[in-house]
Amino acid sequence: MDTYTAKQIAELIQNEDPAMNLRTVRYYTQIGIIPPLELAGNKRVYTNTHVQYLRAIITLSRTGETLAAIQEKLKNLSMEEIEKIGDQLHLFKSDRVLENETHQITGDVIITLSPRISAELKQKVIDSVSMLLRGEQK
Amino acid sequence: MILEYRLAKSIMENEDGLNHLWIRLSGTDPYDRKRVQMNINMPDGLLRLPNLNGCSEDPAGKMELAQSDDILLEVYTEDQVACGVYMISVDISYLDVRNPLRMMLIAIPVRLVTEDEMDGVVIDDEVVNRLKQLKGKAASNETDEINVFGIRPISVKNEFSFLEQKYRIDY
Repeated sequence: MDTYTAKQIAELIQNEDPAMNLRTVRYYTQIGIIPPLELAGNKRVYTNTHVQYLRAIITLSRTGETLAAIQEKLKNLSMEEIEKIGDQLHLFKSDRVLENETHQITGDVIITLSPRISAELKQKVIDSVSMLLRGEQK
Repeated sequence: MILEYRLAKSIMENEDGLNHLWIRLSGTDPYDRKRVQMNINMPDGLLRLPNLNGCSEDPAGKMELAQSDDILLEVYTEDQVACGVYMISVDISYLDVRNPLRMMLIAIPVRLVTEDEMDGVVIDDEVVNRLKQLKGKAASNETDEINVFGIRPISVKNEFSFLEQKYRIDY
């Protein structure tokens, strides 16, 4: 089991969200937003569970959810589901939201494309995914 | 009017500490008071963010409580400061229906301790619940940076292109 101090976990999360810092990690721990620390020997430590919770909390807060709503949602989710939410954190970076083109192919499939992708390639990606979803094979 | 205050944490860290101060106005009908202004003076070493309720606040930190009966403030420490009790002073002025101008002044004690002494912290759940109801970036402890993004106008070539060219506003 990987274990972290508050400072280490704050630095780890800062790689993805520079706004996260030591005091916020401590505060979320103290007010019970993230699960209680685990015991390693006689020390209380953060683990990967806490990393995943923090990433998921940041992601959901970017969608405008209140901390109360986030806590309620996470309560009923498995660790795997919480991890999946955190994995989407990079999608909510403001430069990505502003610059990327988002195409909704169906209600279930949405593609976001960076401006670095050429217009021709964009169209090919959209056409290919659309064909796949229609069950057509090229 | 009565000014009540509560802190989310009974004590806070003297270095990289974070806390929330909840100030509530009560005792009078909100319709009986007008132009409620609040000014918060922080002691050296203790900092705060602009209010989390979204009440208007000028650069000097004077807040106007138009629709709100409460203010939630995020207070924090950065570099290590001496442990002890620090006083946040709050002055408030408002127009009353009977008296033209009323003023109040209160001092709120905040106790700073080392991280090792934080085991004795008592959390005020009511303040925490108020914080949890706020939308956006609660407990982020970072001031918003003003980012200016250039968004390219969309230019579409079709039979209406002449309208876009005619009415486009170039900033």
